[in-house]
Order: sequence, then C-alpha cells, then structure tokens
Amino acid sequence: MFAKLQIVATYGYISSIVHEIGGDEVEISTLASSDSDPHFITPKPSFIAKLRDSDLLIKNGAELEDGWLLPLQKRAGNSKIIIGSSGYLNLAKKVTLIDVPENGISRRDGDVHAHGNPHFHLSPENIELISKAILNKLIELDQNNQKKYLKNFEIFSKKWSNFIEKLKIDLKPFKGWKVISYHRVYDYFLRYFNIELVETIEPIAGIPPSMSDISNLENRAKNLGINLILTDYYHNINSAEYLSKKIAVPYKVVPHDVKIDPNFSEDIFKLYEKIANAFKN
Amino acid sequence: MIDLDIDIFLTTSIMLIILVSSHSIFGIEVVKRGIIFTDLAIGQMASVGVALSILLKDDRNSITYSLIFATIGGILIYLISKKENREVFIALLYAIGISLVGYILHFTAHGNESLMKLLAGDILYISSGELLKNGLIYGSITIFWLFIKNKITNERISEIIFFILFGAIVSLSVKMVGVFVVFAILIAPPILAINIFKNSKVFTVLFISIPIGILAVFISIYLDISVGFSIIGVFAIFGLFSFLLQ
Repeated sequence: MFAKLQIVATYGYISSIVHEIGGDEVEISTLASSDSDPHFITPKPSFIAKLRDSDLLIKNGAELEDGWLLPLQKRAGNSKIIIGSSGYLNLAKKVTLIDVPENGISRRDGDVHAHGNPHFHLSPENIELISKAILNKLIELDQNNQKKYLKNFEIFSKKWSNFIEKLKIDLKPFKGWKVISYHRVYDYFLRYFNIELVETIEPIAGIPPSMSDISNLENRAKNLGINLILTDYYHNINSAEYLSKKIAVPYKVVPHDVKIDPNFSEDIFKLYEKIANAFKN
Repeated sequence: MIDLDIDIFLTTSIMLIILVSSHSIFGIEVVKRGIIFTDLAIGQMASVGVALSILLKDDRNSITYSLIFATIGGILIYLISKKENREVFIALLYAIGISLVGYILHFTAHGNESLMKLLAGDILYISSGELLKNGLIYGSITIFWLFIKNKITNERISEIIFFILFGAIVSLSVKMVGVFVVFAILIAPPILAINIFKNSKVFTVLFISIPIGILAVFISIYLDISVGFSIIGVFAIFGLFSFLLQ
C-alpha cells in the first residue's frame, strides 16, 4: 500500500481540478483563501509544513504568486517541489496568456505582469489545458493509479464541455454587453463569452483609483452604454458602489476563485456559475 | 489548527529570541530616556525608506534608504531630546512618517498590502541561512553598544552613537517584521522587567522577554495565525497586565 500523493495547490481553483482528476487517490491542501487578494497572501505557519511534506506543488504562475510563495518554498526546504523538479507544476506554462505587454514593462505600469494577465483560469478553454496538464503530472508521479486518473479526467472533461455549452446558451443574450470591472480579473471569462471589458476602475493594475480617477472614469463611462460593473471580493467596493450610483448601472460582487472546504462542496463549476449569475440575475 | 511543528517552532523561536534580545536591550535605553515613542517614530522613518525602495523597485538597497531616514529621525530626536513636550515632537515625526509611507505607496502596485506588511510583517519567511546572518549582525550591534556605553564619558557622543546604532537595528528589522512588532519587542520587555522585578538590568529583561516571545510563536503556530500579529498581541497583553503588579 503506497501513501497517497500529497499535493499543495496555491489557489482553490487548482485544488478543485486536482480533486476532479485525482479523486480519493490524492491528498490536497490549498494555500490561498478564496476571499484574499491572490497577489498577496499572508503566510501562516501551516503553509511551511504543508510545503515541506508535499510531493507536488501546483501553482498558477505568471507572477501571481511572486509576492509570497518563493520565500515559503525556500523556508520549507523540500527538494521535491523546487522549481524545475518533477514535483513542481507551473500552470501558466501550459496556457496562452492575454495582454502580454509588447514593449516590456516599466514601473509606471503598476502591477501589469510581464508574462500577461495571470487570471487565466477564468477561460473555459484554459480549464481544459490545465486539467490535461494536471492529469499528465499525476500519471508521471503515480503510475499505479494511471487508469483511475484517466477515467476521472474523461468524466471531468466531458462534464466540463457540456457545462460550457450550456453556459454559452445562458450567456448568449448578454453578447456584446459592455462591462467595467475593478481589476482585469474576469477578462478571460468576458472575452470567451463575447462580453466587452471597456474600462477598469483601478487606473493601473494594482493601484487604487484616486477621486479624480473615478470622476474621469465617470465622465467617460456616461456615454459608453455600460451594462454592468463587476468587482471582486478582495477590493474595497466603495468605488464600484459610487460609480454605480453615478452612472446608474448595477454593480455585482463576484468571486474570482473556488472556495475550498473539506468536502469540496464548491468547485470550478460553481465558480463559473456564480460569475455567469452576475449577468443573469 | 495544526499539530505543533517542532522544526518551524524552533527556527521561528530562535529568530524571535535574536530579535527580542537585541531590541529589548535598546528598549531599556529608550525607557530610561523617557522617549517611549522614539522607536515608533524611527521605525516609521525607516519604513519610509522601505516604501521608497518599493516605489523605485530598488529592493536591494532598501536597507540604505531605511538607514538614511532612520538616522535623520534619530538625529532630530536627539536634538530635541532635552526640550519640553518632546513626546509631541516624536509623535508628529511618527505621523509624518506614516503619511509619507502612505503617500509613496499610493503610487505603487498593491500599496495597501505593502503598507500592512510594514506595520506587521512576518518572520515566518526567514530561512535558517538568514537566521545566522541576522544573528551575527544583531549580535554585533548589540554587543558593541553594551561594550561602549559605559566607556564613553562624553554624553553627547554617547547619545549620538546610541541613536545611530538604534536607527541601524530598527532599519534592519522594520522591513523584516514591521513597525509594530519592533515597537512591541522594544518597549514591552523593559516595562515588564521594571513593573515585575523593579529593575531593568539586561539579564532581567531577557529573563522575562524570551519566554514571552516563545509563547507568542507557540500561539501563532498552534492557532495557525500570522506570527507578526501574535508577537504584537502577546507582548502588549503581558505589558498591560504587568502594570497590575506595580
């Protein structure tokens, strides 16, 4: 009897997909809470223990964890999960990123990531690529359970494509809608469903708007025919609320990640549903 | 909640012992001079340096920026340390520091988060390699101060050296653990020693503060909460209760 594969995922959405494919054969720990700003996670003592005892670390990549993960990895001192080893999976390497800056970045760009927009898990196509990458990694590390992983993957893959087909129909009426979001976190989702992200409330990624930023945005937005304002759980909603009143457009607070509990009662499907519901309700 | 992890507990405790020992010895001097908020003010000035290094994306030199601002703060406080209402001056210096940090970080990505980190950072990130390095640096600064403090007869020179060394210690720590952690481990230990044992000898201060530091680490690991906030909370609570024994 082999011990279960110990997996650490940086974010809840990764854990959700790992759970779909790994099933009961793997043990998953999630580091970031789904309510926190994914760019900035306060380390807890348990993170180090989890990283130290794990066989596989799966991260989002594209600089999203740059502010917090590496020192914890170093501190954990687990050679299995260091960059480049077989127990290290960087999902950003498996997908194509949007908004890759063409001429490099300078500090004037705020939090713009050199590799492109890192919130790629909100593109349905990327979920397929991510789940495939996770499948390959699980098989590589644990060949004994190859059949189970493959079977789980096929079930998930089918369920996912059916789900997205249904979501496409549900969101069809909102094609061409114009949206303002606080941060460019839902951009992949919006693009996939042909909804246009017209503006962001933060003037530059990661930098909160000043009063003049908001009033300039208000003036620009008045004539743009905006349908909806989206904001996430981790930014202050005051600016979205204010703008919503000023331009008489509703705002919705939407999750950006899967909230993980021991029973996996929430999953990647629920996350997509919740974002879609912002339009439907 | 997790089982107590001995490895994490030991490394973090040793780091905190190094920090508490060096800081509380300087804390004794601060309390003696009756300029309690000096360390908050100097710590805040040091964090202006850190904020500037974040803005300029010049992380490697952040300690230099911190040292410059901390030294300016230290010298200003030294210059007014004999004047009336000096605590008001120190409080205002602190306020200027915090407004400068807020102002600078407004222009950086994730400024609010950096601001939070500068108030209460995390010694969890410190690896055993850094531990040794920090131990040597803090140890030598502290021992140097203990060695020379009674050797120099000229009060003015001794004061200037004190403020420079104090600025150096605070600059090193602010980026690592944050202004309030520095404040807690500077001020609570000497006050505890004075309130409970009626003296502020180095031995007494260390005797009381090291077990409290270890308790703070224990609580943070046991409850799986940020070490920084645990240190502030535990030292502050013990400090408050010690007044009942006065």
